[in-house]
Amino acid sequence: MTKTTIGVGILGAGPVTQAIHLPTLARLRDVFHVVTVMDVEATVAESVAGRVGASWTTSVEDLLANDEVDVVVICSPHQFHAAQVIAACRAGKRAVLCEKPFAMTQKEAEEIAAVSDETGVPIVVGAMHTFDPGWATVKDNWGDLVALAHTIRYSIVLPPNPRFEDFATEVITRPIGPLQDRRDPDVAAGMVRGGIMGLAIHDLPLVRAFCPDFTNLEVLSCHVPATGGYLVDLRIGDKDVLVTGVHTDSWEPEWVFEAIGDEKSLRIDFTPSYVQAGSATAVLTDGHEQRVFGPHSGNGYEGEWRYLAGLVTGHTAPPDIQELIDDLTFALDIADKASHSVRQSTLALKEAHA
Amino acid sequence: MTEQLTVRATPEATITGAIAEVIASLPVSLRAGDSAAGLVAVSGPGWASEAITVATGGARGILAIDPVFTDFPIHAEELLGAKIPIVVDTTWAYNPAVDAAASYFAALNPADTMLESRVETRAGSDLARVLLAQLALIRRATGSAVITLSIHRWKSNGYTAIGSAENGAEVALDAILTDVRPPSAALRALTRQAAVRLTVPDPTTATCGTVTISDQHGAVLLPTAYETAHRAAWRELHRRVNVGATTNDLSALLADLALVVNAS
Repeated sequence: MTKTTIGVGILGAGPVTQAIHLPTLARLRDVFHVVTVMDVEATVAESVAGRVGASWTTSVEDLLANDEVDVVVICSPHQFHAAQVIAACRAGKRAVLCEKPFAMTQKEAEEIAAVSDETGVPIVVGAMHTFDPGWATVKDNWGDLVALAHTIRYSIVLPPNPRFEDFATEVITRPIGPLQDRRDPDVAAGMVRGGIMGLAIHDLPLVRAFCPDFTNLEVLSCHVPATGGYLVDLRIGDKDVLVTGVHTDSWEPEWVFEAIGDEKSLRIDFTPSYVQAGSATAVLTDGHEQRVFGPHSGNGYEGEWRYLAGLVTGHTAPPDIQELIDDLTFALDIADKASHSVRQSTLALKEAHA
Repeated sequence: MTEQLTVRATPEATITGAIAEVIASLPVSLRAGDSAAGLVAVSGPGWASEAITVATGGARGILAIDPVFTDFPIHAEELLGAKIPIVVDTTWAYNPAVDAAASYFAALNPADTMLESRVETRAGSDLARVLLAQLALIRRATGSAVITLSIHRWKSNGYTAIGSAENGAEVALDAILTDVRPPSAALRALTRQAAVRLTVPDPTTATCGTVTISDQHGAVLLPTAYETAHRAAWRELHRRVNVGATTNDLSALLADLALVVNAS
């Protein structure tokens, strides 16, 4: 029997697929169905596919050759993203959703842009907060805030992912992170780069929305806190930007984005990743008046899938690939400069104690 | 029985310290007095020389409200030798939530702790005074002074700095000057296992400060108190006069001032 909903093929069946995309697609059964799940671990692929009655494979090529797959979602490790996005475009799929970052170098991003342009296949990057209804509605209402905001603060306090994943699904495989010594300059640099490209990258498109002069970027300081994570103090054009990510085993999560000017400000509290806990709540303050946007029942994950559906059905304009490249360039620039900064400061500290 | 003490204030202190409101809220402990009052509030330029005058003139206690440091270093030695309690009433430090949080901050292992403090205050504020008040908050809340400070941004709309506390904890500070939100200060200690989060509201109101303790098992909000930092500072001064105890507020201010001057 031919299904009338949009067919989805999933590359990589780890926690992001298990805890984010499958639960989200379960909320959108009238729009999508999962055709096939690919993972390099056959047992993982089979088990995860079995949850949704899909076929499974360990071969990227097999999945891309499957004509029932309309949309490819790429949840593999970062280093495979670019090649798989390009392969999915060349396979003539109707849209590609790639988890962030969709490339790890500027060159990869430009190759992707060229292939997307050549094939006409739209690419969506899974920066879920850019699709969050709380963000989207406040963005339509903030008026001249971008010009007025002088300081951007973006802060995450992150309990371990399983705290949230386990409410979203029953995860059968998880990567294990090694303990790291932040006093080693290379380790500190790696921790910051990993933190920027793996965690901070979620909302760097939001930061960039407030930094029109985003290529004029200077790292004033970068520090790896005792808890692990990153504290990055930036000047971006004429904006002051603080980007903080702290890991903790404590209970209380925080995910806050703020843009503050002298007379106007914005604070957005996002719900945690993984869980289907509705949208962010945004508070826009203008003088002594506050307007609250959200929470909405749908979150950013649902938003990005609905956007994909619109692309496939032709009801939504495709994303501007240059915006995606600019987002990536911005993230890479911060990651490069912040990791360089922390390497230098850690090295100086190490030499001082030698 | 509580001894009622008389209060007088310099003209600037009368305004900055909301003296009439404080006396009205502590009518058993305090009442307005004349030039011979037992407790004297000083503030503004010249506060230090004024403090010396009243200390040698028979006052039993002094409240230095939001002191600027123009003439303080000149008079520091003499003031530090005063035999009467001198309470330094900076913007946040005497809010009762700060004392409530202190034992919880102290219970954390400083080697594993990142202290993060954020202040939002009025546009146009004097950055050095904002930083001094923030340092006083950290010192009183954690029982440990910030002893190293590297300032990375210092401009009209705020500052950022990284440093370390006497107990070894690392410290990240920032301040934003804006008129869009009421002044507030926040201090949180984050470790892998637990967190202590303190918020201190606009010092001109008796809005509650909050203290939240969280770990793997949940979060607890401590009981809140509807008291301004000014009122709590007067209570502290009154208590110290009654028990005959001095304070180390001035030496702390002097150390923080040296830190700010060296860092900026």
